[in-house]
Amino acid sequence: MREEHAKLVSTVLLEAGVSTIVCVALSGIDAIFKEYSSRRQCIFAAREEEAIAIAAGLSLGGKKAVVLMQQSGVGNSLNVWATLINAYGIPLSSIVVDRGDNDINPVQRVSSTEMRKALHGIGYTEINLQAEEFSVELGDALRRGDNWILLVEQESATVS
Amino acid sequence: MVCLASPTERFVAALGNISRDLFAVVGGESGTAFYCMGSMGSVVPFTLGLALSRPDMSFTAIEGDGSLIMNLGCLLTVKKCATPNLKTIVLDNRCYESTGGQPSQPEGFSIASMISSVGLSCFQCETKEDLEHSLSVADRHQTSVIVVSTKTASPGPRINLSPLEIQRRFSSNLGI
Repeated sequence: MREEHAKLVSTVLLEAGVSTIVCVALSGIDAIFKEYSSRRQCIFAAREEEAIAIAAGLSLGGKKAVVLMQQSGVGNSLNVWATLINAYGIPLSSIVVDRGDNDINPVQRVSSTEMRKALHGIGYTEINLQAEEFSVELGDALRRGDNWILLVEQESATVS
Repeated sequence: MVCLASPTERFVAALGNISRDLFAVVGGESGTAFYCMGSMGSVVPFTLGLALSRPDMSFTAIEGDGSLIMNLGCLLTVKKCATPNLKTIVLDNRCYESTGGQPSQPEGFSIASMISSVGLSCFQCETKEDLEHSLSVADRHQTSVIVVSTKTASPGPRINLSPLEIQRRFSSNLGI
């Protein structure tokens, strides 16, 4: 994610009242880490399903938390999302940063394509960071409490 | 364990027999317990999130050894967060009891030793007296884990609440 986009995402998160981000380390969002780490509100989990479980507890306890992950983490998340978040009706948004199907790493390219198919099955909101009004769209998605928010920095891929 | 708990203690139990056994003791009316029926391995991080969100209360995660083994990385996250109001109890019967008793650990493996190696305060209990003693001193240690050696037994009754009912009662009890 380009730095200027990361800064804008960070601003949107703060304006949406997100007090804590729970994430697994991923590249490109230093601006978001810096903003939330400086306020001691950034928790690094060892795995994406753990991040979702921690955020679920924060949410149930009254804190507005958001999960941040790379698209390759979606597969690691589906069980806890289905059997804790979805089944128990716990409000939680997970923001997925897509490395894209033109990433230099061929495995990440596959991951990007296959993850999109998985998200298509369970429902997600796609937001293109190249769009002028992306910060409005992201703010709206967070206010609605959309479960899966996919951030992309390229033309959207078509799910076949 | 439940009898020794403080009034501000809340419980999160792992799926299967553990949730059913806790339900047999605590029931569903009070909303002081969250009964997981899935997301195996997620009880500790879920309870960690609760503990972080509510420093005015105490939370106990009740896990099985097999369930904990599914998500060992969470122990490092617990260590990093160092939350004083989180306690974890691991019921260690060395098998996946709910699915027929398949062995969960290699011969000679010690869950307590592994947890201690992460740097968490860990107590190994073999008797009821061990457990009572551990519960009484656990609060003096930041983020403690109590491993209780158990044997398989008949499970408690099936939980007659839906997941949504469990969540709503628990949330209401938290004042949310």
